[in-house]
Amino acid sequence: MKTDKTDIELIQEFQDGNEESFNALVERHLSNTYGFFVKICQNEMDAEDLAQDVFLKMHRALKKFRFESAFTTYLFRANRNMANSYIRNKWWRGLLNLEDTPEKGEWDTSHETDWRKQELWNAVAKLPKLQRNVVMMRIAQELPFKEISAILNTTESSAKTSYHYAVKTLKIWLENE
Amino acid sequence: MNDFETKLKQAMQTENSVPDADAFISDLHSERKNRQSARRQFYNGIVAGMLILSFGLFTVSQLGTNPAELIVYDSFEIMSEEDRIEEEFLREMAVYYLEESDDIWDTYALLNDSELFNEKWENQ
Repeated sequence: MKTDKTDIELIQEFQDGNEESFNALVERHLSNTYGFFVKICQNEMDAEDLAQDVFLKMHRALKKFRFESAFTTYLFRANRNMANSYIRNKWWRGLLNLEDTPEKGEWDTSHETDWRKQELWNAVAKLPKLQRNVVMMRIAQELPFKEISAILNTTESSAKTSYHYAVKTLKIWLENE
Repeated sequence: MNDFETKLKQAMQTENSVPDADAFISDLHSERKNRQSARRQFYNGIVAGMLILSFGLFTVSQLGTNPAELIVYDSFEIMSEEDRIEEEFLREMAVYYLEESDDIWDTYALLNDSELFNEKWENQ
């Protein structure tokens, strides 16, 4: 299913009723989308579910896509929204003790790294929305600030400042725990 | 700050294998079809419910009156019709007795003895 066509061409073909073009688009962006969600979720099954949800939304939304922005920007926005709702949901579940979190005394050292990742994402979830989005895209997706600012509809300097404050806040929160 | 950023990035590092694209796409389309059919069933359910509701409202409006009221009204009608027949029967019997007998008190006594007459007066 590998193709040399651009995203725009594939979307146009999909809009004309070619389902194979949509499949080619999924195949092209699956690795990046899935990788992003794995970093956010720390769980491959959840990541696959989130990636599936994103592409399901794309299947409906692309029929009305107006080519005002690049497809990757559109996809990153969808990923960001999905990740935000996942983090918020996870944070609430943690708050309501719905997650199976071990007691501090029962920590298994073999899972220490995973546990720290969880701690880190809990802290990210508490950041203000803009800072959280910048951190997610910068750390989990390793996007340049220029692209982040385009996705978030903000200036590059604002994205950089938000990132700077977010990292500073995370440093205080995580090192004081 | 840079050290902390590096730590953050390292904490995020994951070794993951990308799922098989063909299997993923196939699952994606079957999930899409499932959701589509669930959505269609939901809308059909709503339409069916609306139809039943509107049919029910239409039927009640055609009756014109609350069915409960109709039943009560009908039972009164039946009772008053029975009373009318009873009264007519008593009146005819009284006239018959008056014609057949010379004494009005004998007629009264006969009527008084009749079960129907007593029931009528007791009810009133």
